[in-house]
Amino acid sequence: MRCKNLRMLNKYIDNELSAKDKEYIEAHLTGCSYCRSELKSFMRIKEALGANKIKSDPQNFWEMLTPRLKEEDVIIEKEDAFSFNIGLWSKRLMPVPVVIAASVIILLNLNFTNRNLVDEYIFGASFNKTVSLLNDNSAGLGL
Amino acid sequence: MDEDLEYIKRFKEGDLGGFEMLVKKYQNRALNIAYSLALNFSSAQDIAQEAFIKVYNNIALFRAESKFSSWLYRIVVNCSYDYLRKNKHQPIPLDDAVSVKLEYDAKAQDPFAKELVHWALSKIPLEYRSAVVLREIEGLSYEDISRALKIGIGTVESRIFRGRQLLREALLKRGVLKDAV
Repeated sequence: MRCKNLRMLNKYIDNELSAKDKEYIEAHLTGCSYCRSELKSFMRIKEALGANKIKSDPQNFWEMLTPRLKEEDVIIEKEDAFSFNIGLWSKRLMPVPVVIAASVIILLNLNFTNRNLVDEYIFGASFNKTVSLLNDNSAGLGL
Repeated sequence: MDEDLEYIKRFKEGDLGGFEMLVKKYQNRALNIAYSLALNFSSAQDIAQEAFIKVYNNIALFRAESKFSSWLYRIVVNCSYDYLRKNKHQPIPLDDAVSVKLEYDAKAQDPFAKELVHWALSKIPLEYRSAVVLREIEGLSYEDISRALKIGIGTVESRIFRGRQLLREALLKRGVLKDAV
């Protein structure tokens, strides 16, 4: 028959109990053969799993890993050449809106200060020259 | 500064030596987790390498507030899951339980039991196996396992408890642990 303290025993094995609960379970173990048996089998499993660890030579592992890291670097370089890296390009292009805004302001100012020149061109002498050209049959246009 | 954070800082600044130090510090832990989940040594090496490559490519995503070890263990577990999914892992026959040269940390009283435990691990579902492995092989606390597997602490405790019971049942069927019952 299972003991109701089995879950607490599980946490006891892992040292995850409060001091009070630990004291309780240790007292319980003295009187419960089922829990003592469970504890014994869990500890044997624990030891066997712990003894199943593998160790490999750190330098050997690193030497096996390094060529694969170099392949990754090549892949990353190729991706940079042919793809749009938003993170990278957003930093590079950050000054562009500022430059564009400044250019617009400059152009608007130029347009404002030289508005008369523009008007003259559109509505002034050049236009009149064009009209006179159209009205002058001697211009050789055959109109 | 925490040693791992120091290595990560060096690596982020372009010093590959920082990454090398991380690899050499954690490679055995990564191997052991992968081996205990995949139950195959050469696959464990591939999985551990794959995990470190993911760290190499994604180090910018690592946040200093969390532990590097938790992050790495989560990557190793996920890589192991991916491997098992691709390879449709089946429980290994007892005769093929171990065929690799292993170097043990401590002498067990019954060396044969180690192979049996390894076989028994293959019999329990992956979610229980990963919790048991992180606890028994790596000695992580419930809180660390919770962070590594992204599950609640209550779930960690349940999975370890159930995993141990399943291991015990499998070993009892093979006649091991009978003196403990």
